[in-house]
Amino acid sequence: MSTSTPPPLPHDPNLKSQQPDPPVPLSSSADFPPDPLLKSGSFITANSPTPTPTPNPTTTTTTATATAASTTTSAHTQNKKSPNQATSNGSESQSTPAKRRPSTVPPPETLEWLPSGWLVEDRVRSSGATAGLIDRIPEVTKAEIILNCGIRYYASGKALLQRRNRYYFDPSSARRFRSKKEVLYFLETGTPRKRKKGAENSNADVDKSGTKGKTVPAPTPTPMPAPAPAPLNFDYCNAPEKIQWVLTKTSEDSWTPFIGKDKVPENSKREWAVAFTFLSTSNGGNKMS
Amino acid sequence: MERGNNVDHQQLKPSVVLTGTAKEGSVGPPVGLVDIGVSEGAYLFRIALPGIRRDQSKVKCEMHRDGKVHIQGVITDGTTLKDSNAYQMKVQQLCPPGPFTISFNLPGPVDPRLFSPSFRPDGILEVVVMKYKMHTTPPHT
Repeated sequence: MSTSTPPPLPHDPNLKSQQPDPPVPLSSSADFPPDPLLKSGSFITANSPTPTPTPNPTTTTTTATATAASTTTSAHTQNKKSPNQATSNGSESQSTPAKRRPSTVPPPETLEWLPSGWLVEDRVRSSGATAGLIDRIPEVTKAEIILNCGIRYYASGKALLQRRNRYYFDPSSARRFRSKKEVLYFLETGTPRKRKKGAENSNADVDKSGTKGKTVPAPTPTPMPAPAPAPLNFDYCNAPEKIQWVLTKTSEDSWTPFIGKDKVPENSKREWAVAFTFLSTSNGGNKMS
Repeated sequence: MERGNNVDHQQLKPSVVLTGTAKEGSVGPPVGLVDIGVSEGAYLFRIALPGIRRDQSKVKCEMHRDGKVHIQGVITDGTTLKDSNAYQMKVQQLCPPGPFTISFNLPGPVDPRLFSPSFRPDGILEVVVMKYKMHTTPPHT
């Protein structure tokens, strides 16, 4: 590297100011014996144990710093060019998201629960299987999903809510909400609803929801927590005194429970089986904790 | 297998009570050898029931809430020979035909409803039954 660079002029006044860091270039330039810059009277001790500059070869120190200075100045010029490019690119890229941002419009249909002055923003999905669709489900359907869905359908109902892309925007407080429930909660309490999952509240979502809206699941009001498939009617506390299990249908290893002389109905036997599998699986989880 | 390392024989040996023909088969593969295991939420027991057929033995397992287990059944005349009467038995170590019961206690109370039996084809009855916790509330509350 030092061999390829053109020999700098030793009487350049700028080089005198570059003196304070000679040790590193000196030791590095000592590895290149055929240096054309070295005059006949000057020498470099190649086996000098310490990298500290010896006072004798003054000419070598100047030349070494000269090469170092030339490389640093060239690096400076390169660095001066690249930030200009970066800023020009940045200004171009900054203009594009403004176009991409969907326009907030007043509500097309009157939402009587929404205060005047609020804006409704319908987002068009830009990616995914349903790109280009404004997919939202009416509030009635949403309530029905939450209230009526069983355990099995709870997840799918949540997924439906997740695809909803309508936002409610309050210009006075500069807050954006994803659901009617969030808006009503904010109007009632003056504070945004806090999420159960995730550490951030919806106040931070006002800033970030534009980018995170697709990944963060929509906050769903949960009237009942969705447990694992737990038996619904199983009374854990009142176990009967004794049950007689009789091996019936002997070809299939099928057992029929009796309480006293009475055969236990098939549906309650099934309920017991569900409770058994539920407990045996959940007990595996308890072992871990 | 791992028996003898983990099983507390002092606790279990006196707790198994055999009646009927199971008591008489004193040598050989007797009826009523028991394994008992415990997990976090359940008990496991295995009972050797050699010579007991699913289709004829009328196996019943009475599960009490306090952990008491009664197993009863009938050991049938286990011969497939047509002319078994032609033989006069010289050694008889297998359990003779007839009814039997096997009784023992599990280490703690159980829920008799949460009972998962399996009568394996090799003549071993394997049962997992959940522990009964008096103050246990359902896990989802």
